[in-house]
Amino acid sequence: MTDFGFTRAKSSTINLDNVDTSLFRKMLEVEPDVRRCMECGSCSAVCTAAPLSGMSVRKVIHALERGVDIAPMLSGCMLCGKCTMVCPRGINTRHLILSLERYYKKKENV
Amino acid sequence: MTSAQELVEQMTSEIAGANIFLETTVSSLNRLSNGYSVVLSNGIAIACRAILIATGFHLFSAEKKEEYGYGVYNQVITNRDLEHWFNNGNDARIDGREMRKIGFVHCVGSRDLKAGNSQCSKVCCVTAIKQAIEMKEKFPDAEIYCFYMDLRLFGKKYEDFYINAQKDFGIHFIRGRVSEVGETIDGSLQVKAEDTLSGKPLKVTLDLLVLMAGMVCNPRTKEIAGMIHADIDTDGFLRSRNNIYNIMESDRPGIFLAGTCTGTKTVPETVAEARAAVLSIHNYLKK
Amino acid sequence: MRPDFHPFVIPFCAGMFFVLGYCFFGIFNIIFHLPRRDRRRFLVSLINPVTAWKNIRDIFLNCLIHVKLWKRNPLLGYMHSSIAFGWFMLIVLGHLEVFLYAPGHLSKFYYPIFFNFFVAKSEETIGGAVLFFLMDFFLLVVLSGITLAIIKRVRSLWFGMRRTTRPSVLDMVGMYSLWAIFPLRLLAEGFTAHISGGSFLIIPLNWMVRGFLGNEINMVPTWWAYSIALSVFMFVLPFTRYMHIPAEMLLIPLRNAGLCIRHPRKGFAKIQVLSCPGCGVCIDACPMSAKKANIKDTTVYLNRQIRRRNEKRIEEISDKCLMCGKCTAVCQVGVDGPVIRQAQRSLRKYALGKDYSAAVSPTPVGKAAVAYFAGCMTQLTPGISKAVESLLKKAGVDYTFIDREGGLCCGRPLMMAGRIKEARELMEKTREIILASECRTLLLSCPICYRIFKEEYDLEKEGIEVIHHSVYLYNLVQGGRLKPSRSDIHFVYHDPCELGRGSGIYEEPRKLLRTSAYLVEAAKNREESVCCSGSLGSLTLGFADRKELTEAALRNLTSDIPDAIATACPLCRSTFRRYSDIPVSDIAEVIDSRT
Repeated sequence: MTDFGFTRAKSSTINLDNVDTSLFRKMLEVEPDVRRCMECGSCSAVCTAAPLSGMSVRKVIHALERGVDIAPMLSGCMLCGKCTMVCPRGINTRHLILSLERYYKKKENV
Repeated sequence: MTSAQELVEQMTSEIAGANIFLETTVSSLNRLSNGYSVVLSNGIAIACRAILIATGFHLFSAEKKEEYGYGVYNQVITNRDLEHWFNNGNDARIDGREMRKIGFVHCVGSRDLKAGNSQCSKVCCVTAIKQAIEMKEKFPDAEIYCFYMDLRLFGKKYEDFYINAQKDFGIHFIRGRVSEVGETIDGSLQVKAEDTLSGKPLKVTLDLLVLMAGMVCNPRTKEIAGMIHADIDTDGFLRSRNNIYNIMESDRPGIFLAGTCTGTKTVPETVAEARAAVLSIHNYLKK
Repeated sequence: MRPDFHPFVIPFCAGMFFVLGYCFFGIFNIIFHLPRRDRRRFLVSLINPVTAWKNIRDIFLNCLIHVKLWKRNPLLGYMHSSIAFGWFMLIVLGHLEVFLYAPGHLSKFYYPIFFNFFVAKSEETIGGAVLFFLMDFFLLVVLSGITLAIIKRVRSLWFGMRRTTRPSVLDMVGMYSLWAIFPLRLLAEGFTAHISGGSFLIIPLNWMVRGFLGNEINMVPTWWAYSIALSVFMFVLPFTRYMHIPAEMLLIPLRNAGLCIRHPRKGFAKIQVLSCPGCGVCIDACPMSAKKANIKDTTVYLNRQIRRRNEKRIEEISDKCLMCGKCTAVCQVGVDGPVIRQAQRSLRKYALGKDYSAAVSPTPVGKAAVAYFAGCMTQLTPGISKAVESLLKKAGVDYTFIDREGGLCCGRPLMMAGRIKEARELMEKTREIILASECRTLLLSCPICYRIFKEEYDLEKEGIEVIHHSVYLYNLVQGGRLKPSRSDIHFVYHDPCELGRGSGIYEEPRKLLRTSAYLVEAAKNREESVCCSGSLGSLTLGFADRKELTEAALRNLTSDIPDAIATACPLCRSTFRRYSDIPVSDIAEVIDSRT
């Protein structure tokens, strides 16, 4: 390839025709309640790990459905259970997080 | 704006011929061959052919959402408390205190499976906007924040009201549910939410936090439903014959329903439904 | 003198060799798989006279007499001890007979078992009529136990058990052969009693069988049948729940040596699993059993699946548990269900790790003699922290609220999820926050935090006392610094799992509550209190799955019709509040309202 001395930035568009939602589908199997999330943000507001790693269960679920990488947020989660306590839709967020950490596969082109 | 008091007075004057018992409960309700016998707590027994149940709703008890600290923190009040203050003008939690920042929490006990209510209470969004405007009028220097999940302003001119609040009163709308209320070291109230649109946790200290408590079915409604074996729907309210075209009729002959005993409603909806129910009763009695 | 060998002893001998070989190999295997330090500790404990005596006493009282079972249900206790102790005495007396009357045959280990076949009565044996009597007596005792066991299979409710386990096929084989052994022995000895002697039981039987059935043709076949029944039982024993008999005898000394589970499947964990008698007492005890679908997720089934190496079910059962510890409290053998489960959870591999290196306290940590750490759960129940603060002020305590505007997690939820390494990492960070306050007393409102601070943080070493607010407030009342007045309200006190069973605190909260209200008790309380089901212990139970369990716990609590419920855990309080018809408060709120 010819080097033109500059690179084109990767498009930041989420292309729904071309996203890998395999992890999201796996999560629907182990914790089907994630479908219920209405993105109210209660979980993120109370999160003990939010200042540490920008953790937000809402963002995790959102990113998961759009096929966006979620790994960095999860690293600070302490499984303290506050998000589970406040979730108005009764999502078992702790099980979701544990399952995500377990079944996560690094994407090559991320 | 029309005051509720005037509206009620106007409507009761229209039915001046009817017997109205206030401060009275139904002690028993029995099916007769062609109607019902109703015994009231004041000892009066009535035989009638049709009954209209219009038992209304109960306000969700905000103490149940304990993370909001209603009853724990002095600066936390409900929509009812605030309305009461507008009308009566005395509440130690508001009077004589400086109001620089006021928060409104939408959906308290509504759209909340944990609190046992999955329904939207319909009126809180517009009520919050109305109360926010009124507070802004009373405290022009205060910053007012409305914490919402979705703004559901579907009624006639509700959206205009919302535009007013944004444009003329500068009320801030934050998309995120408040989920923790605490105290800072100097004793002021601090609320935490996520500003979901920027994707960042948010905290703000407030002088007053108003909880928009939602509607739940009146527990007395369930007692009355038990007396006539009327069904309770899966949402905890009374079951209508059909939720789309027959909401004011129950499955039991001669039992009619109106207003918030069958679900959350706004005042215009309730008034329209009441008129429809009365017409249905009229047709039923003619049969 | 009769012959000293007959082919019918062969099945018995084969079974005996097999089971002894298996057990020796098993003991070796388990001790081999202990970490070296634990192994040393165990071997030293065996020669230490104090623990050695404790071992003997515990084995005698638990394995033979079943003392704990007697306390629970005398009928069940009698059933088990009659079979275990009766059989033990038959073996001991059998050996005594051989020792006294045929000492030359003591080396043939089948001899004591089939004594009545090989030894004819003589002047000498008649002299031992007392032994004959005792043999018959203990045979009768065992038979009575077997009869009860058969009745129990049909009518378990008569024995106080609503639900019992469904035995596997091999369990059935073991059970039927066990039931067959003693009636066959009775019959066999009955046929030979006119030759070998006997007492009140087998002599009359001998008259009967000789009269009706003739004798010589039946004698040898019944001895064969007796030997085969013994043999079948011993051959299947390692693969059935009856393995608990030898396993418990090893579990007791291992436990007395103070060992804990280091590997989820080997060593101490393995002996715990093998010691499970499969009785199913944990089924009725388990708070999850309020829902029928959860019955197969109780500890007895976990142990069975671990023995079968059914990984899928092991994972399901381990993850579902509330970790309330009630199964351990009622277990006759002391199998520790939650600890076994936590070990299984720790087996899991995670593709994503944790990183707490940047964790700091969001609240500036003040310095005071008393540090109040509310914990994550209490931050969502401001009523509790507010009441505790109010009481501290009223008592004039110098305190600092170290997680007023948020803090870090104590690490117990990670620990319970089996992520031990990550938990330790986080605990280091939380420890720094505690130490930064330079406190002498760490005051906690959440029993989950309390337990791990007490057990794992080693704060006593730093001169810091770890105390739950229920105990601390009681001490303040005792010291006259708080003077609550009494009300007429009747409270029932709910023992939170982590505070009660987990930390052994039952008395102080009750005494504290009595200073300001009347106390009534729940149907099941203290060690047997029913978990509210809000526990963080369960990984997979969702919100909707827990409702029925909480309602069952509430029914247990309100059996004596109290006016209100008091507890000492923010999570229990929130969980109960959701479904309770009567008010639910934390003990601190109760006291604060009366001070």
